[in-house]
Order: sequence, then C-alpha cells, then structure tokens
Amino acid sequence: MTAPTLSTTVVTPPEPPEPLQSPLREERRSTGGRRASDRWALGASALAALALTGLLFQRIAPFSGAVGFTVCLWLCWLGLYALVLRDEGGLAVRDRLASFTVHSIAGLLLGILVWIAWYVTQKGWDALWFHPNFFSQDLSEAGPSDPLDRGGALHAMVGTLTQITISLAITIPLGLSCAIFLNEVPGRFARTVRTLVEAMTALPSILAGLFVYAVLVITFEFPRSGFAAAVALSVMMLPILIRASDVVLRLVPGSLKEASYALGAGRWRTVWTVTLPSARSGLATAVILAAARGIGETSPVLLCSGYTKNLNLDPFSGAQASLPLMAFTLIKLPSDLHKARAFGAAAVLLVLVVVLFGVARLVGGRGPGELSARQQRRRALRSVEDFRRMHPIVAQPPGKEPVLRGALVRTTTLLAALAVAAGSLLLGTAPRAAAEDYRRISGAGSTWSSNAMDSWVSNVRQYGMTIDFDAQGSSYGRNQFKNGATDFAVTEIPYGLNDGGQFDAPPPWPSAYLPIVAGGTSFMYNLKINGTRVTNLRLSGESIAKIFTGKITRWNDPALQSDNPGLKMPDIPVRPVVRSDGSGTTAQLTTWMSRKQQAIWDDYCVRSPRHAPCGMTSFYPLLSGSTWQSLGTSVAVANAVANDANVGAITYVEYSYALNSRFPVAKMLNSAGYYVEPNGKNVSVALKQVRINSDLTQQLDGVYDSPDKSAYPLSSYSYMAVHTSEVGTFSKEKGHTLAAFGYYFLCEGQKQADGLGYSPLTPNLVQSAFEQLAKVPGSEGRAFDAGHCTNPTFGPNGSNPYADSADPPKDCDRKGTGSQCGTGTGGAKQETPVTAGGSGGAGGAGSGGGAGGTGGGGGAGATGGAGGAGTGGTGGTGADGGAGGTAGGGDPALTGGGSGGTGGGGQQYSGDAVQLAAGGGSGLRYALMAIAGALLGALIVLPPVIAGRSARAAYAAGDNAQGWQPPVPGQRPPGPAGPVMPWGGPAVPWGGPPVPWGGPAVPWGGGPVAGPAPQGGPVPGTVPVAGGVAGESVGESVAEGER
Amino acid sequence: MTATEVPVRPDVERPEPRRVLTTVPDVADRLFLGWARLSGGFVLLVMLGVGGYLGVRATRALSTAGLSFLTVENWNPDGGRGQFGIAAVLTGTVLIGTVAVCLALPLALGSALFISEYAPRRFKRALIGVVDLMAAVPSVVYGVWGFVLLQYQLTGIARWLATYLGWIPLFAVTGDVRVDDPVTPPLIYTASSLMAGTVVAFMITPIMCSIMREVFDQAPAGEREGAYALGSTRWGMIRTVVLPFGRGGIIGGTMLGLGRALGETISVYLILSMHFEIQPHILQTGGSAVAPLIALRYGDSSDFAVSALMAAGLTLFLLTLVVNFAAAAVVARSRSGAAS
Repeated sequence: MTAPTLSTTVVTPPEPPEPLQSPLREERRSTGGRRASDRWALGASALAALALTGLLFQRIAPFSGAVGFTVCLWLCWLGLYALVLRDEGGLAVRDRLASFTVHSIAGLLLGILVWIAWYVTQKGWDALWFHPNFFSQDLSEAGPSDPLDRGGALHAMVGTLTQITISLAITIPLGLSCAIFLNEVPGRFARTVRTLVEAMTALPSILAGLFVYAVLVITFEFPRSGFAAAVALSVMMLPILIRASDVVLRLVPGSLKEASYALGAGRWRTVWTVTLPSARSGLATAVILAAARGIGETSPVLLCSGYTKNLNLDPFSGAQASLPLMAFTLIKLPSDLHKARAFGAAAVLLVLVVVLFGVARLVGGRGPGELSARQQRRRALRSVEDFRRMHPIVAQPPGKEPVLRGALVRTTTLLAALAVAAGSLLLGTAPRAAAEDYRRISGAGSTWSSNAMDSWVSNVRQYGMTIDFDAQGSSYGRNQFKNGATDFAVTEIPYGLNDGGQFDAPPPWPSAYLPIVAGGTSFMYNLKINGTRVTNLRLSGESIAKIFTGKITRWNDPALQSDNPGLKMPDIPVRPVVRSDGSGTTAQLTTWMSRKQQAIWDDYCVRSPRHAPCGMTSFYPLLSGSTWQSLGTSVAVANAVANDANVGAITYVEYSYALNSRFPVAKMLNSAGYYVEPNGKNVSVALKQVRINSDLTQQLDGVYDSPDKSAYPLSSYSYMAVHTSEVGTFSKEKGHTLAAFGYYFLCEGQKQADGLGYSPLTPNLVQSAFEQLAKVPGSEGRAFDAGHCTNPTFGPNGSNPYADSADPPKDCDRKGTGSQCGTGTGGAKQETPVTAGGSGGAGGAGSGGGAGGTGGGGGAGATGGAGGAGTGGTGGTGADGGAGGTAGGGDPALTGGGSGGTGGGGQQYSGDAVQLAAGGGSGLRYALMAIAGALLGALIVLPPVIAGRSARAAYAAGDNAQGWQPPVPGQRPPGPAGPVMPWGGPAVPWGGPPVPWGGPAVPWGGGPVAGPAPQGGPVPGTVPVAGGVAGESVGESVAEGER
Repeated sequence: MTATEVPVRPDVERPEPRRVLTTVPDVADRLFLGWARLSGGFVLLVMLGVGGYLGVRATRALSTAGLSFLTVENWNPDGGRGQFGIAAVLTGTVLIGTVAVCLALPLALGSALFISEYAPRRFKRALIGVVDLMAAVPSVVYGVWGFVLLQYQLTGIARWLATYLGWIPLFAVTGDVRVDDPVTPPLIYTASSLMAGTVVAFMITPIMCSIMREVFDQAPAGEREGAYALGSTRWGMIRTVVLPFGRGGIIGGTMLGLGRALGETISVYLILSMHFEIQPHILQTGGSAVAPLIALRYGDSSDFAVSALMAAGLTLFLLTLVVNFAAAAVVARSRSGAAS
C-alpha cells in the first residue's frame, strides 16, 4: 500500500458562488458530509456489537428483557465504533463519538415517547376506535359494566379546554409582565421575586391546589368549580412560565435594545417592538411548557373542582372533570371498560396537546423577522401604498381589495365554523326534560364501593337525577362532607373513631348513616407450585394475621402447610403488599385484626411504633427495615400481585379487583370450621349476624364469629353519611333528590351488587336505612315495604333467598379433613391439582409428589404429568398419577418431577424453573458464543480493510469531488516533511463535516491556503493554524474575550 | 479650574463638565414600568401567600414536634411528638430527585444538542413538537406506564447492578433478600427509588431539553463560524462555543427539571412503595418523597396530620429555595445568564 500520489492531482476551483438571492435570507449550508467509510464503520461496528452483545448477554450479564439488551448493545457499539475509527485521529474520533452519542440519545428519547404513546393508544384503542360516542357523550349514563359504545369523555374534554383557557388567560399576561419586570427593572426587588419564583417551580401541584382551596373556597366561599381549579393551575403554571420566559428574555441581545433606544424609542416601545418580537419563539416555548404542565395536572383539579361524570359547561359552579383527572379516577376502578376509557381519555389528551401546540407554534413560534404569508402580503401592500403615496403618477397597482376580501372570507368561515361547533355542542348536550324536579347533588368517598355507586349514578340518569360522585377514598369523603363541600359521603368507617390516637370528630351538624352495599375484604395472592398457579389457597384467621404482621415469612411455614394439606407449599418467601394511603380496606382489615387477633396485631404495631392496644387504623404501619411493598391505590396493590413474575406476593383488596385481574383469592377459615371464599353470597350469610348500633354504625363481632358454615368472616358494609337537617347549601330539594336516589339503590340498585363483586344488603340493614332516609329533609319518608323492594335478599316471610342460595362449602374445605378442594377462586376459576385426599395417608412427605397426583383428573397438562411422576415413584397414589407421569415423559419438567420423586418431594419445587432454564439454554449458549467470537474477530478486522479498499477504488476513479480522501488503514499521512498538498480543493479535505460553509462558497475555496491533511489529524507545517485543536482553543478564547 | 484640581491624574485633560442625562419617561413608559412593577409585586404576593400559607398551617405541627421534626424518620403524626419527622421523607425526595436529574441531564442535553446542532433543518420543528408533546403527557399516564410496564423491564438491570455492584452502598440490597437467588421475584426491585426516579427523569427531560435548546439556538453565529473557520470539528465547535454559551441555560433548565422532579406527585404516588425510614438503597423496593406523601395522606388526615404534611411541604419549599440560590450564583456568572 503506497500513499496516493496526491501531488499531481489538481482540481480546478469551482465557479465562484452565485450571489445570494436576498441579503436577509441566507441559506444555512449543510456542513455534513458522510463518506462511504463512515457508513462502513458504523454498520460494521453495529454488527460486531450485536455479536458481542449476544455473547455478553448470554454469558455474563443475567439481564432480562429488551432494555438490558439494548443497553449492552449500545455500549458495545460505542466501544467498537471508537475502535474502528481509531486511525482517523483523536479529533475525528471524538467528533464521531459525540455525534453518535447525541444521535442515539435523541433516538432514545423518541423511542420512549413512541413507547408511551403506543402504550396509551393501544390500551385506549377499544374505547376510541369506532366509538364516535367517546367524543360526543359524557359518562353520565355509562356505568362500570356498560359497553364502550355508551358514554365518552366529552365532559372531561370540555373541562380541560375550559380550565386551560382560563388559566392561560390568567397566566400569560401576568407571567409575561413579571418576566419583563425581572429583565427590565433589575434591582433588589426583582432579585427577590426571581428567587422566590424559582423556588416555586418545585411547588408540588397539590400544594398549589390546597392553597387555592384554602383561600378561594374556604375563605372567600367561592364554590368548588372549574374556575377554582383553573386558578390553582395558574398558581402552579406561573413560576414555570416566568422562569422559562425569563431565561429567553435575558438572551435578547443588548445591542438590539440599545439600537432601539438610540433611535429614540422609549422603554415601552423597545419592549413591545424589539424585546418581545426577538424572543417570540422562546416565549412561545415558555407558554407551551407551562400549558403542558397545567394541562396534564391532576391534583389541583381534584381538590378544587372534584371529579364528576356529568358534563358541566359552567366553570363557575359545580364539579368539572378534566381529562387527566378522568384518567386518574377511572384507572383506579376495577372495571376493565373504565380502564379502557381512562386510557382513551389520556390518548385524547395527547392528541389535544398536539393540536394545541401545533397551533401555538404556528402562531407564536416564528423567529424574529420571519413573517407569515399574510404578514408578507400585508407588508407588500403597505410598501405599495407607500410607493403610491410618494409617486402619485405611477399607475394604480392592484392588490388591496383581493387581500381584504380574502381576509374577510377567511374570518367569516372561521366564525361560522366556530358557531356550528358550539351550536352542535350545546344542542347535543341539551339537558333532557326532567321527569321530576331533581337538583344536582354531589358526594365523595370510598373507592371500595365506587363500582356500585358508579353504576347506580348512571342508572338514575334516566329518572333525571344528576349526581356527581368523586371516588377518592372514604376518609377524603368524610373530610369533604365535614367541610360542607359535598352533600353526602360514602365511607367504610364512621366518624368518631380513634385512628392512631386521633379522634375523627363528626360533622358539626346532625347527620345519619345508611348502609349502601356490602362486601368482603379478600386476600389476593400469586403463588405457583412447580409452575402451576395455585387457585385454592386456604388461610385461617391466625395465618392471615401472622402473614400481615411478618410472623410468617415463608410459604412452607407449618401453619400454612396445615391450612393446605392438599398442596405442597413451596419454600419461597411470603411478600405482603399493603396500602400506603389511608384506606377503608386497611381499616376493615385492622378492625378485624384488633378484634380477633389482638395479641398478634398489638405485638406488631407496638414495634411500628405505636401504642398498644392498637385499634383499627386507615394507614398500614410498616416495621423499620421492612422489604414489603406499600403502594398507593387498590389498583396498584392488585397489579403488583398480579404480575406473573411476582410469585409469593399477597395483598388485601376489594374482591372485584381480584375478579378483574383474573387472580384467585384465599379462602378464609370461619367459626364453623370451613374455608370459604369472599363471594357475595357468603358475605350476605355472614352479615345476617350484623348488629346495628343505635347510630347505625356497624357492630361486626357477630359477623366475624358467624356460626354459619358458608359465612365469610371478614365481611362488612359501607355507609353513606347524609344530612338530617337543612344546612348550608343542603336544601329540601337536594334532600328530596338524595332520598329518591337512596330509595333507588336500596332496592332496585342492590340487584346489580352481585355482578359488580359486592353483596346486596340484608333486609335488616335495608330496613334501618329506610328509617334513616326518612330523616333527610325533603324526603318523602317512604315506609319500608319488603313487597315493593326488588332487593334480591328479600324473600317471602322474611327469608333471605339470596343468602340461602349460597352453596354450602364442600366437605373437602372443612378444616381437619386432611384434604382440600381443587376448585379455583376469585378471578381464577381453573382447578388446582391437589393430593388425592386423605385416603392414602398422604400426610407429610407423601404429599410432596402429590402436587400433581390428580393430574389425570385435573388435567393440568405438564405439571400434572411431572408431579405425577413423583407421586408414582413414592406413594403410588393411583393409576392416574402413574399414567400422567408417563404421558409427561417428553416434557422438559421431567427433571423436576424426577428429582422430586427420588427426594420424596420437598424443596426441589422452587428450584425447578432454574434447572430448566440452565439446561435448556446451555447448548444454544455455546453455539452462540462460538459464532459470536468468530463474528467478532471478523467484524473488527474486516471493516477497515473493506472501507480502505472501497475508498481507494473510488479515489482511483477520480471520485474525490466529495472531498474525502481515502483512509488508509494503519498508515499515517506524511509528516511535516511530506509533500505539500497543492490541490487547493474546494471541499473539506479532512475527516469530517467541520467546514461551516461546506459548499463551494467557502471563504478559502481556491485560496492560497493549502488544504489541511487528508486524514483525521491536521498536518502541522502546511497550515499555520491547523485542525480543530487550534480551532477549539481559539473558539474558547473568542468566547472568553466577549465576557 | 486648573490641573491641580485633579491631583490624582494630572495627565488627564481637564474634563468636560459631565453631562447630566436625565431620562424623563413619558406617560406610556411610566405606565409600563408601573405595570411591570405591579405584576412583579403581585406574583411576589401570590408566591409569598403560598409560602405563608404553608408556614401558618405548619406551625402547629412544628411547635409540637420541635427539633424532632428534622431527626425522626417515621411518619405517624397522630402519634404525637417523636412519631413523625422528615428525615426519611426528605432524604427520599433528594434521592429520587438526584436519580432523576442524573438520568435526565444527559438525555436532555443530548436531545437539545441534537435538535439545535445535528438535526436536519426540516425535521427541527417536528422534533421540537415531539419534545413538547412529551412534556404534556399527563403524569398519571407516566405513572401507570412506569408502574405496569417500565419497571418490570428494568428489574433485569436492577438485579444485575445489585449482583455485581452491590458492594457500592447505593446499590446494595438489604433485608431478607438473597440477590443471587434467581427465584427472587422482581417485587424486590420494583417500586424503588430508582424506578420512581427513572420515570420522573422521563417527565422532566422535555422541560430541560426545551430550555437548553432555546439557549443553544441563541449561541452567536459569528463565533460558531469562527470556530469552524479555525478548523474545528463540529464537536469542537459545540464544546467551545455552544456549551460555554449555554451554560446558564443548562443549569437553569436542570434546576427547573430538578424542581419538577422534587415536586412530582402523581406518578411517584403510583410507583413508589412508601417506607418511612432512610433507605439509601436505590435498587431496593421502598423509598419516600414529600409530594406523594401529601397526596397519599392529605385526604385521610386529621387536622393535625394535615399540619404536619404542610410542614413537610414547607421543608421541600425551603430546600428548593436553597438549591436555587446555589444555581442562581452559577447562572449569573455564565454568559447567557449574565445579562440579568
């Protein structure tokens, strides 16, 4: 390989560049220029990196998932790319690596956005696609089980648009003036303001919400409304807007302003005509950033307005939903349909944002001096006019009328379109004629009973009742009711209880409780034995208490094993997941524990530390150093357990979440000695024993100890707290509506309870609820008449057909029989294979293999077969098991079954999955390693060779007009003594894109300065200031100089 | 008037009498200045109002807790003095904020440089729009996405870090967990400060990126061309012109991002497992933060507990005040920020 003979090549200088069209519009020249060898290097290193990653990934890094692979790949790529580029010189390598990194970061960001957008769209697709109703209806008539072709997000869209418009109308003038103030009137005062504003950018939005709530709603008695929410959003957006626009205003060149002053303009004129227009694009960004923050914010709207599923066009009174709040509220509900709607709302928000920001950029995003078509026309018109004025002889040029007419036409069209849109909106949502004079009432409270409330609120729309219900937690509901912000509250626990030493005072006005719906607190778990999901777990009350107090830490604890004789409990840790927010479900669990398992509970909670005796609490305490998860919502705990990989997790949650997650719930041991499931009927059976205190609060001791065989002990019901006098805004008319709603849900509404995962109220509860409803002012005071109440628990002669229809628990679920039913529970109805009964004396060791003993009958495929092999080996429980074993011979789980068989069951189960993975992967891994090694070697060596060859070939063909020089691997260009490159070529002679005026118009094009070295590094000696090293330092000194 | 009157610098010629420049602002200017001051004052009032509101509401809890408010880790305000404090919550907030900024800074810087320096001009607008869009994704979406999807993707990395870099205290995993046990469920690595911080990083990247890009775009063209003309590579130009010029914007944007990270509520609320103890192991489940604590507990709290929450909010506010003072000092010394 010889150095190319450079000295003979003389390239004729190009034609002098054409003069620029307009001195104002300079085209920015592309400074890039990519050579073939660059592409080779990039592609080749990518391939090598892929191979290397395959190697590393299998061998060293037990990463899982695409993310780990990508990280690994990227790092390898970067390293190899640097390696391949190494002979281009340090400067070029750094340039390329920087470029590579910047490109990949941008790609990563884009990828994340696409991922999120895809996730949202895909989840919300069902709600959006072919459902125009999603954009034209509110949710008022769509309950949790109504199909997606009913109801939509109109109420939230209207709310979002209204609120963001109001808050922008407040924020933009105020924020921009303040930013101008900070820049134009500097001084101590401005500095103080700036510092405070900057600190405020970290203000949690919920505090902004609380502040506005305290000032506007409590102090000035302004109603909770969309306007209050908009003010809260403004408080939150202001600092962001001010800070962002402050940064851009600071950058307006001082010389521009000075020029303006020099021309005699005042400060006001300078700001208006110079500062603001020059910073226009940046200010638009600032406004967009603030709006982006405001439009996606949930908590201020939650506090200052509250969620409602009804359309509210009036921002000054009543709750008004917004899209993020709708998403936040619906996503917490167990209904899958509501989840789809929540994501639909989020997707709509994204689209809305794209549209709004597009418009904002169009209107405000142009740089200074960059005019829109219309502005250009106007300017042309003005100059023509000036021309005419100064040269009256010149003929009249046309132009004024068409422009004016065009503008007129456009404006009219726009106005007409707006009018049509507004009209259709109003017409489409015209309030229907109410059958009776019902007032709009509002309430807040429990998420536990929100599914039922949601359904009822939708159903009573047909009677003309409009009820705003905001399901944000029972304590939230109690506090709102106590503050007089709502007309009723839905809660699991009454007022007047002590929670952790704090007394929850009842509201200062007379109120009453009425029961609304019953249900059980269920224990949802994720447990697998030998790869098969367990769906029939049984737990005694003591085991439950011990699990949730950390006394039982492993699933094969003797206590759990004795609860589940038909299962070989695996040796994996128990991982409880509890609620971190104040929750009625936590309160129900801890009430039960404090009554029935006092010693265990007290022992735990004094270490948390609290004072014994611990009563109930809404906040689950955690011990120090605990590795339990403590999450914020029912949906979060349910999701954490329902993740397939989280084997060993257990949580307490509403039954409906388990149903919707398709996960099993534990059967709980009752006083009759049976393990029962928390379904509606079993709850209803238990609630027959409820005693009602005189104030209608519940006395659950009888329920916990119900002697009935099918009673689920942890049953309770939730209340509605209502006014019994006219107070504040609560009028007789509202009372009338509330009572009518009450009469509906106590009878008709209870029919839906079972399907929604609850249990209908028992007759005794309904009867007392009727008595309380009669006390509500404006109530018609209907007398209780079982004959007219369609509640499914009302049978002839005071019987309870609903509870009576409860399936009595099977004998296999009786404690002490040594057996266990295999039937599934909750949302997972599939059968779990269990040992074939106590007949064979399966007892301890025998049950080890027995996990699959009934494989023949249960038919749980692979596991049945694998376990069967074990059983066949040890106990020989039955011919079925043996058959299963042979049938499963070809299954990969055989190793597990085999070892289980020889070891007589025991610990192997948890290890099986690992053995399998290792065994299955090894052959592939070595093959991959070999391939990767070969590829790696080839790929590192080959690219430079190929690149060099192709470059030389191209060079030989005289194709160096692009300006690249053939990179010769391993060979440096001649040193200082080498021949001077005579070709004062027009283009970039050194390795990359650094010439700013990349085209032929380069200042040095054809000049006397010889081009720098043909390769990455500069050639000292030929050019006085060569290469980027000098450039960098000079650039730095220029920068320094201007300070 | 002789030279002796100016004894210090006798070589200077007799100075002209200094012209007195009096600016007499006209009515419009006076109105304008008045309006500017007024709006500045109003904003100050609102901000002070928020701070004052926090302070007033917080006094009850602070007077009960006294100094123990700063040292106690637990959060059980109803238990009275010694049962609640911000030691853990504030540490958790800073931890999550730090993780978020550490991840978001390279992301934002890289993408801002890409948009202002590398991207083809015709895509520039679209890219800006894309970044803005990312800023507007509601936090509940980020939260759910992070909670359901992202954190289970990242558990592999967390596990790897815990296994191989577990000797660094930050990456250690403690408690009843064996990191090398492959059947340990991902539950141990989810709901951690790292996961919350990662999601928050994605949320603050756009706001940081926007500010940085805006400042980079303003880097003087003359200096850029000067650098190129002296033979600098593109990276050399960025390093010597764009980055020094944009330092104020980088820091300002980062502070804005940090501010949002510290105050982020809903997404952290959904992801983080709340533990009230100082838990410096970012990979391990459990952590704490002020803003989600307020969101979690506000609706269910007694008056006194709300007062304690306000005290926590006030501490967060003071913390950001300190951070911003520090940042302001740096920004004021940079070029793009020096004009103020």
